[in-house]
Amino acid sequence: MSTLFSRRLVVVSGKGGVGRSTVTAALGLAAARSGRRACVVELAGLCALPPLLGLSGRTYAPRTVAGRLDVRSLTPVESVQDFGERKLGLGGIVRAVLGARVTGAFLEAVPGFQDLVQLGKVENLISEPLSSDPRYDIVFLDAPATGHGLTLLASAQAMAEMTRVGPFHDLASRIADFLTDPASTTVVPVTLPEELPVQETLELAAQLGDALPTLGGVIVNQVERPHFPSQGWPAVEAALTAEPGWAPWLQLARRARARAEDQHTVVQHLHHALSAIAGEVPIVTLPRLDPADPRGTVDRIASTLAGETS
Amino acid sequence: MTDVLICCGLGGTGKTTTAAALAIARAMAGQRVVVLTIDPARRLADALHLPLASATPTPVPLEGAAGSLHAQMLDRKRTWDAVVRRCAPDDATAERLLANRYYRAVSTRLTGSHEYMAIEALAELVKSGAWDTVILDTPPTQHLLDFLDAPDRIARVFDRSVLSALVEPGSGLFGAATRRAVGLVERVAGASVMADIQEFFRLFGGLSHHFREQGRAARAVLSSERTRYLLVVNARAPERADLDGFLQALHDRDLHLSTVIFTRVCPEPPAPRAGDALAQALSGIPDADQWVAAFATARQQAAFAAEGDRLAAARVAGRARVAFAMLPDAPESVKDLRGLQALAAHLAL
Repeated sequence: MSTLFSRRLVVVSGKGGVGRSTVTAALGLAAARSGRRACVVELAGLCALPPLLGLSGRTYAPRTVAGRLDVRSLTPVESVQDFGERKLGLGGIVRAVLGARVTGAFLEAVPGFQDLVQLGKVENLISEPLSSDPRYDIVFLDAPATGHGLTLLASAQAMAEMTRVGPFHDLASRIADFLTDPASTTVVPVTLPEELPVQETLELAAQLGDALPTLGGVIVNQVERPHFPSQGWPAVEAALTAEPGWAPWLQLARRARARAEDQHTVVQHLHHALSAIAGEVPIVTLPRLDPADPRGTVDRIASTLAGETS
Repeated sequence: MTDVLICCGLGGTGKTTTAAALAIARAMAGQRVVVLTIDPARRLADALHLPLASATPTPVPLEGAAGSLHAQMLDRKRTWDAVVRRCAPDDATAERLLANRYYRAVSTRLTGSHEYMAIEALAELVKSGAWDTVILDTPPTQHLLDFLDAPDRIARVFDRSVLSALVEPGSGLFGAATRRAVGLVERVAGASVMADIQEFFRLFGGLSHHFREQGRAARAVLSSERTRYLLVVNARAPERADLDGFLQALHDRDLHLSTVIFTRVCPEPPAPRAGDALAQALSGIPDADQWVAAFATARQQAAFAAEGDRLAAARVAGRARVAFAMLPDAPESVKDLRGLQALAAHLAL
């Protein structure tokens, strides 16, 4: 993934539970440590990223950690207010109107509008930052679960087609162009070394490229690597069966070897199927780390990813 | 009377597998069971080896079952169009709605239309009276919250006063606010969009009665005493940021969690042995050092996995006093019906 950090926007996608937020935080940290001014963004009022980077609560405004990494948690309402103020100079009015019942209903009735203003905010951060905003070299977006995330990315295109003309059409087209420009934007799915998550990642890869961003790499998280020697298991088994008390250890080893083999098979399948779908795409595997120490996990994954992206 | 089991949880937890196993368990025990998924990834089809398109309940052959098992994959587009055709006051209105650009965008492409249709499908299945149990496999948690909100959102969106105000802004304070809102939308989105949207709402006004009724029926289903919420937790998934949010969301709606099902539960690693005991036991074996190191790594990984299980259990147990079920870690089990049936034996729910 040596070209990953030359992009402006990296969309980290994946289902809940695969460690997507952990990987997003770690990528941000790795980019910041490489000297880039970086930002990690989550949407829809979620609050997964801040605790992973030692912050509490979510804020729309950026907070800086590790000197060069900003953390932002967007919501649709704050993004709409921001959009209104910046693009239309409608600060007070927008706020008043947003309070009105009818606009609330309208916002809810046009779900793509909510997605679009949040994506618009992300694009603005990169393409036309306010004088008070930092100039980000790269932004990492913690994108919602795979199916939903694709809909989110497709909504810019859908909105651009639906509106045809007007300032909103311009915004939607600009976002769609930005998302589909391979030099600007790329998607990095996070998956687990298991059959169904990998299958979904392949389905995602097959859909990317057309009206959607291109694939920048795949991260396989929580891989177990016991590194048992490839030969000699029967001798080990015999030695440990001969002595009392080793039965649980034999069970542990059998299980670990079987899992490692399953995972290896799945990752190999990912390699083959992915190259058939998308050509040469880098695949990075990350180890299973201590679940009781999420911040330490982010830190260690950041170090691994720093090696992969340099 | 129909039991409704709503399987909730993050993606990748084995939720779909669990829903299928629950359905199999009940069908084996003699019930007429249908399992419904609104997940766009359609994982249930994979697990049950069903054809992808099954917008109506499709039978799943189940050897030796005293009852029957059906599965249904929600098809957004087809369901929306069917609702429009069924509920429009006349064919002309239906055709104009189906041709409306805003309708086409909302019904097929944009985020959020799933939930409206899931409500419709769930309520229809319950209303039919043809099932002893309806099992719903929900999308990942963030979506689930949308799902729980859907009945109220339908009610708000199709609130007659709001609709008529949007289409024909009147006088007074509310009218003025509406005209400003419409003006803002026109300025942002262009006048032709507003025209499409207004036509959409004008045409949809004729259907609003249906949606209010659906909203009522859906709320009744979601809060019925016969509806139980099951939370499926991958005991080892480290990312649990929205578990609290989910429990809170249920609590806020006065809905109650019935059971937490832990999937992929890991065994505890063996107790550590004195210093070099393993090295001694393996002395004389080629690559003994590598074997000892690999055992240590495997034990470490197993300890992380078990620790993850404990953390998840402690967390959930601390938040909700509910029954637990544990599904063993069996990665090969989800590939076919036989494996699912073996899992089902752990779920006497």
